[in-house]
Parts: sequence; structure tokens; C-alpha cells
Amino acid sequence: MTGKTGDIVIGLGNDAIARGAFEAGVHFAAAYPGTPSSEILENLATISKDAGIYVEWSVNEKVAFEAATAAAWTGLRAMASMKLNGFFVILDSLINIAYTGHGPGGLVLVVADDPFAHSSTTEGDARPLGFYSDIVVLEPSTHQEAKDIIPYAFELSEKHGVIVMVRETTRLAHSRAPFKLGKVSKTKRTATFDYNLPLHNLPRPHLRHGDLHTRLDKIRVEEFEKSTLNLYDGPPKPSLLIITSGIAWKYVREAVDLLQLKDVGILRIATLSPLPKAMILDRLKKTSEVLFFEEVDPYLETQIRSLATELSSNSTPQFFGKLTGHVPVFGEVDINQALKSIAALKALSYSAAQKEYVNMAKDAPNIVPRRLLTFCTGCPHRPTYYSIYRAIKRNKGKGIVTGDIGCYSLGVFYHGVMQNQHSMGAGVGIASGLGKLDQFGLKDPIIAVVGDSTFYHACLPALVNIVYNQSKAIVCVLDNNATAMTGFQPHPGTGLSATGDVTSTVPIERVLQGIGFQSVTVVDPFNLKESIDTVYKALNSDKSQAIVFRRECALITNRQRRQRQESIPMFMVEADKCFGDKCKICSVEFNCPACVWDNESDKALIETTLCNGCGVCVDVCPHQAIHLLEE
Amino acid sequence: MKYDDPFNIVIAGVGGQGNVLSSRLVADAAIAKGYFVAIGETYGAAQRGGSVMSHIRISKHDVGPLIPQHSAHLLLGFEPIEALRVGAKFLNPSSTAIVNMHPVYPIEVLTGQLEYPSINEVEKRLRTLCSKIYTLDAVDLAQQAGDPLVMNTVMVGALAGAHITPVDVIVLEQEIAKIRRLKDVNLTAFNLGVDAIKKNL
Repeated sequence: MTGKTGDIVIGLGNDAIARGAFEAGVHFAAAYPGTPSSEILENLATISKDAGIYVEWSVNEKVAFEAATAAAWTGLRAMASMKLNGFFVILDSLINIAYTGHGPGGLVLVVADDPFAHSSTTEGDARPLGFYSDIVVLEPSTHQEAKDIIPYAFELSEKHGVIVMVRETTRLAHSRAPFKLGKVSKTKRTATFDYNLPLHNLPRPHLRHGDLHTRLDKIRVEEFEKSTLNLYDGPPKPSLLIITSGIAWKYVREAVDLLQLKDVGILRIATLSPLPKAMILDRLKKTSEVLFFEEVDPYLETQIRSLATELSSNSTPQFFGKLTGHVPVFGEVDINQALKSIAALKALSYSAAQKEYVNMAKDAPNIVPRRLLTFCTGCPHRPTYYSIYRAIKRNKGKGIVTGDIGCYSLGVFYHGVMQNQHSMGAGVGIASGLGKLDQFGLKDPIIAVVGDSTFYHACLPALVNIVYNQSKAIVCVLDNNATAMTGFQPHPGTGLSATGDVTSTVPIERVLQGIGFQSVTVVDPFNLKESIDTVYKALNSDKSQAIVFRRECALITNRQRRQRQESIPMFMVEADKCFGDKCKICSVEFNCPACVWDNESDKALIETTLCNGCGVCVDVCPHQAIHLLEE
Repeated sequence: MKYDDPFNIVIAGVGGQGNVLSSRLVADAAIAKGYFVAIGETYGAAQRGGSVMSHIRISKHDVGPLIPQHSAHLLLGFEPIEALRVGAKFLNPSSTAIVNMHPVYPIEVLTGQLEYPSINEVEKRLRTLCSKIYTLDAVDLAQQAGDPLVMNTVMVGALAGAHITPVDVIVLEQEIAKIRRLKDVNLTAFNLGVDAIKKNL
């Protein structure tokens, strides 16, 4: 982040974007953590004090975007960054503010899509949503471009009064490559609020919408038709034109190279909305076949196919892509898919190895057992889920568990305790609905499981709904004092800001009490008996119930132990007392990776290299066979 | 010596083994020698015991972050079954594998629900997938160096010791020397890795 102009550094695509924002002289940056976007704000937080940048982790993406808008209204350069799901969250505000414009400042969004849903619950594509929202959409393909495109995005935004979105995907965000640092522009500005600016769309929103389209058309003609961000490589009249954007461009280039195709042209479009119509039509006229190769949705494909209706029928090429089955409509595209799609159109085939070898290799890993994701050893979520599991079992199997996204999503793999799992906060809203169905015959108790950071992000309206509409849903907040899944960013319950400074805390239990839950209990999930009893009691209560399971993330505990040079408490199984194969509660039911099963003796064993010393297994064992090993 | 361009290295392991750091060390060494490097990583589930994989591509050009199937010149396996799982996709009859044969058991193996295959069988299958394989117990060597966690540095040493990549021992050792935490342990681990391959050669 802090290197000199001209230095070549290696970093993530997100590092490059953060550096680009720094070089652009960004004043205000807000975000909510979400893989693969979190490193952008984290980077800016490291330099914020020296560089005079205001940086915050907002409670959710919508607030981040609105806060950034406010800064832009006062003349500052403001940026909000988020993963695709966060972009879904901001849409209402975005479409409103796109009409209004953002005053004299610059407003840039960075949206990280996650094709294949490597660390998400959905795939999705920000490009068509950007088009739909009437904002400008840019997409870099390389780390260098990721850095360079941010200052340009700010310039465009300020010059034309539009919101500019920069889209990236996981493979750019989370791959590393070198990029050359540029000059950091010093844009010291004072925030001033112009009371005469009409910062609303009333009384005629549709007219503001019309003005916005005029601005976008101007950008199309003046900026994008001749933009050097759009690249063409190939013969003047290629037999096949491949149209692509983002990181997919790199796959296409490599595939064309490996297939040694000389008569193929590649058009890489970086200005995705508004599309440079004339330039594209001109390219279409010079070829007879077009393949669209893009991540996630057929955005370029549908847009350009509709543009092509302006061509005469004899100059309209034949189109291939996701709509024709030549590129899959789901999952991530990669170099192998590029080779496959292009080779198929050219009636070629490509393989780096002989067919017999490939077939042999396919079978080679058939002895490899799967590697299920599980909670870390010492993780407080394991005893929390174990308590819910045991309480439901005691309740004759009655208890529906709803949830959302975070480390605790792994509850879907933990004896299937979590039965549904969707977007941030969705579990609370769904529980609210399920808890109102007794008049239709659904009598089962309902439990919503939610993480601490998610609690502030998207749960508050649904929690109010539960109380207001007297739904019988029980809310369990799994408070591990961090946004652990995305890399331990602070949140309003931690008392720390994005820059590590001490700030106000918003205690979860006080929020729940304030909303009006009749019973709010805080338990330590390491206290197994109390946890199971609390859940069981809630399952059989008529009061509105909230339970906060509070225990910090095991990885934080570990880090602190290392700093204090403390050793991890050691536990052992007393073999004589272990019931062996007949029981297996510690290893199979509690399912801790450190409660290893020893097949030779048919007894449990604590694997000290894996154990984090939480000691919950001592209470899990019904035969008092596990003990703390005294020094 | 002339190397293929791009030169493709794939690292296969389990969350928490440190492949992100290892791939960065190799990349920094290659950049120090004037190469462009692209590293593609999958680490969303890294801290929760999942499989992790890094692709390192060393080139004179701005290449993409992913290695085509069966196009790795070198597989650096941090764990036997992960090496087999990933090797089956990326190795080819002329590639080399360097594999730490110290297993990290999946949760269902630990709890006695699934069986881990015999190490000999894993090694036998890996042999059929490449032209040359070096095996070592990098956890054991890391322990000798002073900390089992520096297994990844032992493996980087092994990569250097095999002399098949465009990055050499001296430059890599200089990169290791820049590590602040456990610097001496890391340097010892690196050299134990180099020596382990020399004995294997």
C-alpha cells in the first residue's frame, strides 16, 4: 500500500484496488466484510491515519453505501466495497441515489462477484444489476488494470455525475500478481454541504430518470466508444470473434494461444455499461461467428445480441455462448472451459495428456476419503450446536432450526441441525414466519440461529417482527466476538473500530431486551449442562425467548495464548472408563476432530496436536472418562 | 537451463498448513529473478479443515491465475491424499511431484467413520501419475528445525533442492530470511528440505 511510485509489488487484486483508491485520493471508504472483497477496506484501514482517509466497517452494505453517498454529496471522493450479496442489499438506495446523482464528489462502488460460490451461498452477476440500476459498470482483467481503473472511475463519476461500479470476480480479487505503483494524488478537500442542491427525486422521479439516461448516453459517446480500456487483438476480419470481459479474457487469450488459432479475434470489453454500441457493431460486421465467453450470466451475450438486431441480416454473425449451450450457465469459467468451448466451435480437441493417461488419472483418487468442513477444535459453535442438538433430542426430536451465513453455517453439516440456510439474517425472518403457523397445524418449536456480526447486519427488522407479531420463534445469537468467517473484522459488539480504536459497543442482549424479548439469557456454550437446559426450557416456554451463546472464537483465544506464551491445557481419555465402540459420543456425536477414534484399542483418544484445550469433551463423556491432565 | 513458459507449480494441502505463505515465497523469488508470476488460490474454507490449493505460474508474460488440467510441471503436495486428489487433475507423464507423506486426517477418519488409505497405496498411485516423485516427512523435519508448523518451509526447501523450477536455492533462501517470525527455525527448516531432496536425488 505504501510503496513508492514505480515500485513493482505483488498482491491480491483487492490490494491493487485499495492502492488504486489511495492513488485516487479517496477520502471516505466504507464496507461490510464479505469474501472475496474484505481486503480492500482492510488495506485502506492500515494507512487511513497517515493518509487522512476515513475508513469504517459499517453495519451492512446498504449503510456503507449511504454513508459513502453522504461524503460524495459534500464534495469528497467516497468508495463503498462489498461482495455481490452486499450489492443485492443496497439496490433500493442505489437506484434512488443514481437518479439524484452524488453532488460534487466522486462515488465509486467495488463489487466482488463469486462465481462457483467458493465462499458464498449463491452465484450471481453484478453486471446486469449495474445496467439495471443505471450506473456505470467497469471491469478490469489484470491486477494492473484493477489498480489503474479506480482513479479513472472517480474521474468519470465526478465529471459526469454518475455512480461508477467496478466489478471484479474471485479469481482477480483473490489471486496474486505483480503491479506497478503509480503516483498518489493529494486531493485535500473540505466537506461542504450545499443547501441548494436538490438531493431528492421529487416531485417527478421519472424526469430525473430521464436526465440520468442523458448523462449515461453522453458517457457512451464521449468516453466509451473510443476507450482504450476495450481491447481488440486479432486479424481485421476474424473467422471467429470471441467477446469477453474480466479475468475470463486471460483464459481466452491462453486458450487461443494453446490451440494455435491465428484467425480468431478477441474483443475484451472493460466498459460494460453503457456499452460502446458503435464500436461493437463495427466488430460484429467483420466476422461471421461470435462466441461470448463470460463469468456467470450471459450479460454481454444478451446485450450484444439485442444490439445486433440493428444489423442487416447478411451482416449478422452467428452467435454462440451460454444461450446456445456452448458455455455453461452456472459455475466458474476457467482455462479448461475456454479450451473446450473454443475447440468445439473450431472442431478441434485439446488435451495436455494422452487419453489413456487422462482416464487412468481420473480413477487414481478413488481411494481418497472426502474432507468435510467442520468447526475448528475449541470452536464455541460446536458445543452450541451440540446443546441445540441434545435439547431437540430431549424434546422428542421437535425443533426446526433456521439459519444464515457465517462460520455457524457449518451447522448444516453438524447432524443436519440447521435445516435451512440462506442470506444474511434470513433465518430470523423465516423463523418469524414458521412461528406463526400453529393455526394451520405446525406446532413444532422454531429456533433461529444467527451470528454476532450478522445480528447487527440484517436481523434487527426481523427480530422486531417476531416480537410485534408475537411469533413463537426462539432466537439464538452465536456471539464469538468477531466476524470470524471473513477474517476477524470488528463489529458493533466488539468495542473496536475498523482502525482498531476503542469505540462504543452495542451489547446484543440489551438490543434484544429493548426490542421486547421477554426472556434474554446469556450462556457460555462451554458450560454444556446450562446450555442444553436453557435451550430445552426455551423449546417449552410460551414467552418470547432469546439466548446469547457467548464465547470468543477459538482462533482469537489461540492468538492470545501465543502472545502470552501460555500452553494449551491437555486432556486425556482414561481407557478403562471409556465404553468404546458402544458409545462414541465424544468422537461421532460431539464430532470434535481432536476426539480421535483409535481403531486398534476401539477407544477414544485425545490427539494433543489437534486439541485446543476447550475441555468440553469432559462434560460430553457420559462415563467421566476424560480428564484434564495435571502438569 | 531453459524452462517451459509458463512454468506451472500446484500446491495441494489442507487449511492451516501455510500454502498461501509458501506460494508467496516462491512467487517473490521468481519476481526477484525478473519473472511475472500469477498465483491462484482457493482458500475460502481454509480455516475449517478443508482442502486448499494454490497455483503458481512463472512466466515472462501476464498469464492467468489458473493452470490448465494436466499441465503442472511440479506438484508440491503438503499432504498425501490431497496430493493425489489434486495430482490426478494437474499432473502429466512428464511432471515431478514432491510430497510430504505425513497425513492430516479428515474429520470422518478421525472419528472412525471412514478409512484413510494406506500411505504405500497413495504413493504407488502418485508414481503412476508423474515421471519423478520425491517423498519426505516434512512434519518430522520441521519438528527437527524446532516447530512442526514450519512444514511449509521444509517443502519450499525441497522445491529449491530439486532444481527443476526457474527459482533457485539462493534467491529462495534470501526470501526465507525476510520472514520475521521464527526466522532461524525457518532457515533451518528450509535447509533440511533442500538436503532431504539431495539425499533423494
